[in-house]
Amino acid sequence: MISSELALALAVGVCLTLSANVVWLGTRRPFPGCSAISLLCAYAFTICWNETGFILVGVLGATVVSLLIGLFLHESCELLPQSSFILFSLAAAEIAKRLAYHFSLLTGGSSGLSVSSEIGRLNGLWLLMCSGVAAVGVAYLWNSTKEGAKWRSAGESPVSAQTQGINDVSCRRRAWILASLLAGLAGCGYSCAIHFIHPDDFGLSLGLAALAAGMASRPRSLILDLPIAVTVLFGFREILRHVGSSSERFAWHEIVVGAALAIIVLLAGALQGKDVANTNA
Amino acid sequence: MQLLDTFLASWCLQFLCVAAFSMQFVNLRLVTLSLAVAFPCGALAASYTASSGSGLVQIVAGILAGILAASLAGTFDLWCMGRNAAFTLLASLGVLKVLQAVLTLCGFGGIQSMPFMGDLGAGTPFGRPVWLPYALVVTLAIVAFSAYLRRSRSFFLSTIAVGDSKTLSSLYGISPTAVFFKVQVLGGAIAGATGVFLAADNGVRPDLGTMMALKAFAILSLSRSSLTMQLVLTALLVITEYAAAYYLGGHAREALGLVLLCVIMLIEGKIRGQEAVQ
Repeated sequence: MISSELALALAVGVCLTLSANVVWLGTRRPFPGCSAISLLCAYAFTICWNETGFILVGVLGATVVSLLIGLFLHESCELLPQSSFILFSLAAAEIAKRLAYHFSLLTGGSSGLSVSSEIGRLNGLWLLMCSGVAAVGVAYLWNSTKEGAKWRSAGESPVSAQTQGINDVSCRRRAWILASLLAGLAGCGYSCAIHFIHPDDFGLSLGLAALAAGMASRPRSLILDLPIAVTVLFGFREILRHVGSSSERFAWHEIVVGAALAIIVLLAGALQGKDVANTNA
Repeated sequence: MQLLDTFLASWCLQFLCVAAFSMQFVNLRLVTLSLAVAFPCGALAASYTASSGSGLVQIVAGILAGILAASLAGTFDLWCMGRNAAFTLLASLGVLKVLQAVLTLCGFGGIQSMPFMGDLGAGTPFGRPVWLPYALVVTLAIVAFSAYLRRSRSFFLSTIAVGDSKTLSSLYGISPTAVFFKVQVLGGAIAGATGVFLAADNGVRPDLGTMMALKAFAILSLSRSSLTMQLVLTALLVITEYAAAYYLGGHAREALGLVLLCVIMLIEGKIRGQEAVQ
């Protein structure tokens, strides 16, 4: 039986990975900043919940924030070339963290923000089940719906999609919104389970791990690829919880994430190059 | 006087960071972050040579460690040169994470909590950091060397040629590998020295200088190969950051620098898009 902490880590991993996967397949852009969306949504959720005492207001607040971020990212993505967009999202992730530190009256700054509600903590296993449902939904979207096929063709080749009468910009916008909502779900779930949120909670490492796992999860075998990738990249630190110091565990996790990212990204690049070569031939 | 010292210190650090990435980013058109590993390596080497008691020895050790680290990271960059820029950038970020984690494991009990050792980390009774005169000398030397490189032309032009087309430049008798490693050694040396000063200011951390590297990309995107523009834009960035720090606090300072980066990239993207339409 898996512990609640491991289940929480895996649940957050599944949601973030799905978010990166939707962006990757729907827009063909690698996006390492989904953890920053989770952070902002977790803060929006906790602040709204604390201020009003109603959890639904918190959910509404987080949804609005994730929608706004999704739309903003879509517009930025349309403007910027790929490498600039990656630099942009790295900078934006750091800005989100700094803002969380800066607005300490609202966010608690470096002391973090606790949930003041008396409702009990959500068990990580429940969250893992919810994220499992989301994963099945995303797999269904890619494999069995016309909408998913449209999104993929709009991301793969916008010109071909346009000739088929598909509004490619609108498809990409919807993909960004879904990705933001999934990342927001990770943030809200985390806040519900821990009842505490800190600016360092959703670091860049989580975003990079999600990107690597999201790019490694193929749409046809998403249900098989996703658990393996998430267990390796997100469960690793929790599995090694009793081994070595926290600094050593962090370092080993960084090594696994960094190496996986470099290998997966280069493989994806090589495959894309092969596709282009085949098309030219 | 203290304000001037603080401005000069930040300006030197940011300019050195810009100079380290300049040739790689502008001439070779390689957008990678793996060179950033030279910052903590330089800092670590300088910290280990602290027993010498000489600032100069610490800086030289930092430069040598920077060159070594940059050459190691350069092997990966060389392999990536000519590939998709976005994938190269992401893969270099992965490599940087691995190297930073290895540094954490190799440091004595983790370098995250390790203070910078040696005289350079101290401050004078007037609050001026001891490393500032050293940093100013290194910065001036690099400005002079950069100006010389631009005038001597042959090496500078060969870097642009390799960045433009690896195949074509090798047909004209320029070895892309040799040119690339020369650029990497120069960048590594500057980054190593910058790491020493950065660590003297903030302590040794594995992610030392990574955010400064991102801001350096913004400055380089605007200034391209113009040395004067690089100096002026760095000064403007530092002034804006200090204004933000004075009025809004320390975290806002870092955020503002990165907001500027985002705004610059968005404006550049918009202009490029309009040009493409026209």
